[in-house]
Amino acid sequence: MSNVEIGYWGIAVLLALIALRVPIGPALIGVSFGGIWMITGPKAAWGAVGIIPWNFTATWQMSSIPMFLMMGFVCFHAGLTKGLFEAARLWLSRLPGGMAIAAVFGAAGFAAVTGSSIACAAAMGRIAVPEMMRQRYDAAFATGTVAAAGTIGALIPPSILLILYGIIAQVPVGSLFMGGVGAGLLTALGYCVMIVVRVKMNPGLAPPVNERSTAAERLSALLDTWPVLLLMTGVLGGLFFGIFTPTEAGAAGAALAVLVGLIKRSLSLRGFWSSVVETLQTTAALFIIAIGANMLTRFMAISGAGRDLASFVDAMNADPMLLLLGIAIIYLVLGMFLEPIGAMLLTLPILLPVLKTADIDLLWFGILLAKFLEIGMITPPIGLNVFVIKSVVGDLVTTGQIFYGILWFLVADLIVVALLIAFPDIILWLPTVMK
Amino acid sequence: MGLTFRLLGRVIDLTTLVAGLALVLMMTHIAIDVVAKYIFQVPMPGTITVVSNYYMILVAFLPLAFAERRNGQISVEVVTAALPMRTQRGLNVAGMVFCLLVFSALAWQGWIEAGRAQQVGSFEIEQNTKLLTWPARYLLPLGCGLIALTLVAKIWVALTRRPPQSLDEPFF
Amino acid sequence: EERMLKFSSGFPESAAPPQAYAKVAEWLAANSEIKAEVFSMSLLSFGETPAGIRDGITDAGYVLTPYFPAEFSETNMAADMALLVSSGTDAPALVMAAAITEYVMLNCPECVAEYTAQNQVFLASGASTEYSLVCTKPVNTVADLKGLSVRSGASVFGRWIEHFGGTKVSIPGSEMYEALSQKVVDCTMVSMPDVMNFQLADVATDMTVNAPGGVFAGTASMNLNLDLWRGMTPEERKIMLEAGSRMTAGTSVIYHNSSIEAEPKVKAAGVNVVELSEELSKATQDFIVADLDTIRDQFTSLYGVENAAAKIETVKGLVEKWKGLVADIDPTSMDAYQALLMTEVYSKVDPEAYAMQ
Ligand code: NA
Ligand code: NA
Repeated sequence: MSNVEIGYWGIAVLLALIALRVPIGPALIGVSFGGIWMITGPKAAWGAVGIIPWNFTATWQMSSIPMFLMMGFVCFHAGLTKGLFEAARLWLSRLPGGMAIAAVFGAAGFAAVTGSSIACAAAMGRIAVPEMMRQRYDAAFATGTVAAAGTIGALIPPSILLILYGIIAQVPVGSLFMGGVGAGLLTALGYCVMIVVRVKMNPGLAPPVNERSTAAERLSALLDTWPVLLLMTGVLGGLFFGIFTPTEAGAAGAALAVLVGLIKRSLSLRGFWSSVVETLQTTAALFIIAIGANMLTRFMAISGAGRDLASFVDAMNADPMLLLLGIAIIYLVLGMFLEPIGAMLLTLPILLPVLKTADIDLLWFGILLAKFLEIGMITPPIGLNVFVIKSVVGDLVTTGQIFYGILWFLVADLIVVALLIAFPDIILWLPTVMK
Repeated sequence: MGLTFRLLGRVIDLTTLVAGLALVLMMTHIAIDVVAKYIFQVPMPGTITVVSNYYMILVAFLPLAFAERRNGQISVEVVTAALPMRTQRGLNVAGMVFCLLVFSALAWQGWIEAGRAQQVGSFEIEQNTKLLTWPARYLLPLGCGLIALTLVAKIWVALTRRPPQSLDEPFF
Repeated sequence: EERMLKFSSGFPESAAPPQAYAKVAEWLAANSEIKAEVFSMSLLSFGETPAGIRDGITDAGYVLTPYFPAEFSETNMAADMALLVSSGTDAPALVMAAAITEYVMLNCPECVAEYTAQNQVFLASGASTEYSLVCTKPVNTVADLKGLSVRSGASVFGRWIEHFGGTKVSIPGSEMYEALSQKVVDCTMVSMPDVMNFQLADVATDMTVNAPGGVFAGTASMNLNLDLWRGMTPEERKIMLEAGSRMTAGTSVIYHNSSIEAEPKVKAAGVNVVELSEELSKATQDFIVADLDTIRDQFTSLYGVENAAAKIETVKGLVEKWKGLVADIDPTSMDAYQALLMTEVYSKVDPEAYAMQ
């Protein structure tokens, strides 16, 4: 068997293991170990197992991942985001599907204080879904809205995906963050339009709300949004005015969230410890996958399968649009099965050289990539956001219903992607101005 | 067996507590460094070294066993969900054996690397002082070894408990 | 015997070291049975490279020795003296790379031993071009340095800035851009090509060339797996030694030339590029002399290097020797420099004995 063949067989074995429900991280590590053994011998294989997990983890830049996760969990447990949703609900209740729109706005606001879409979906799921169900919203529609709205969490800064991309592709993380704002807001807008259109077509999805609120109530609700606004200003302002670097922003944000929770007297010791424990569990689960994906890229490099695949993408290089279409299809397919960080680490070493040859702006592409990967979070069969919502709302809906509720948001996503490709300035305008 | 499980459970609780403290310390340390740099123009010495060599390893590897106990590892269930329950249980045990092998390998090789680092006495220099980094190397095999033990316990329970319990709930 | 080797570095493909590797691979293919494949970033990161060579994940790799203070303290002491090339030469990269190579291979058995302890053998060095201050305001006097916050990679540069009352800030290279654009630091210290590589011209306004000078010389640019080396025939080892001379020459000359190419680009991007002032240059030279004592004390007490004073004298002598030799050649030509390295260093290394015990 040639080395390249060993590489392809490795991928086949990996997919089989994952389908048989072997946890993704260990499956990646085991396959890489076996592959490197077959090509270079046992010493190198054991060496890779000894060297890579430590070196991948013991890195300053990686520290922002647990920190941004913690910031999100603290916000949820201290109820810092509740006020935001309340305000959106009161102000938007007259619109068709107003509560759903409020959930999208709430998610966009929460996105500014959390780095991952899982945290965003989990928080909004706990806040918004019960409220929508109380107003007799259609269950599939309500849960689908929140699962999709969660994806905004990784587009609007801070974003763990964008930090990792910046490290790998050598694109300034600050510029990526600025670029994500446009894509995130456009996504939110796209979802809102989709909600209005669908409720107009089928009013049964979202019965009109007969709740009347006074101007005073609405104003006081607005005042209750201060914790999130303070956090957003703190993190983005701190980055913008050079008080801290993107890596430090995670810790600064988490500390700020704890402080706000203490000032508000809404962060109990119990809530704080829950945030810590949830952060630890998520960090451990994420890092073992990232380490495995990292080892797989070495296996692909040694086997030459990576270069072989790249030459396949290279063949589409003649036309940048064709190349982008090819990349979009690859990520939509990968996104059905893979977790976004793993999919990114797996593919970037292959794609980056191709993108550079094709002279594609790596800042613009990074945002587009984050958008593709986030679509993968809500596509069947493996949609992490969907599973999160399911675990938050329990027996109210089936997983299948949530996927059904998402279908129309996927249509909105495809339109957003088309707009981002047709008008790159949606992404690039803000980073350029900020320079 | 009950005593062994309780003991393992307490060890996992303890390591989770240590990892939690490391997480909180990491946040505090970086935040203080930011403030010190901005207001007093004096950085806290050794922030980058301590964060990357100590806190990160504690936070990423020590809670592995805790996550495993809660079935917190990310895997894909859609393909197997349609299979008969007997087959699902069999696959689940086989998957845990696979994980056990992988984490044992990580623990074993991590231990050897830690020994090597101790032998050369790995360190970093911060403000003209030596900051030893080799002790942190032992945290990785510790975390991976603990999840390996947890997997042994889970496999044992999966094979012996009657009636067999649901795959979704934690085994112990 | 036909061999297929993996050469690996943590640099992106466009940087000088992978380009030099590619030239070495070309030469090997044309002149021997040995073939080489070059990996850039995809196989091993900087932090993983020495262990990766040790275990044979790669056959040869680019080791940045200052990243490993415990493992390579002997080489690091010589590399820490790089400010010696801040004056008296127009090609500091070539001078320092040659001095380090000659020191490690011919004058420092402890250096060779610290590589064999990591199961590898040193075959080549290389150096960046001179370090300069890249700032968001003009800096060119001793007074300007007071209170200045500067991002610097190497410890010796940190001592320089602290000596003049500034603050050294540790920030990873990948965050230099943000740190400068958001004024987390006033300046960063980089070589001319890196101003372009890290897109610093977008955010910097002023550059003071050769402040403080010195190069990055903690470079073992082609460390080969020791088992592989000892398993080779003496003829093969001789070929690998010549390949090493080509790697030292390639890395340093490509850096030197890319610095010359980068300068007009940096200026065109609107950065005000000035030469180091007479006053700051003189103060820096005084600092350099005094700093040799610091190096001696620090490496003796913190790193356990023996006979540091004598070793420092040896390195000083080699730097002076190579300032003279390099002055007579065209520093932009790889061939002349490589021929010089062969006669002065590599031809004197015994392929039957080097790193064999
Ligand atoms: Na976000
Ligand atoms: Na999916």
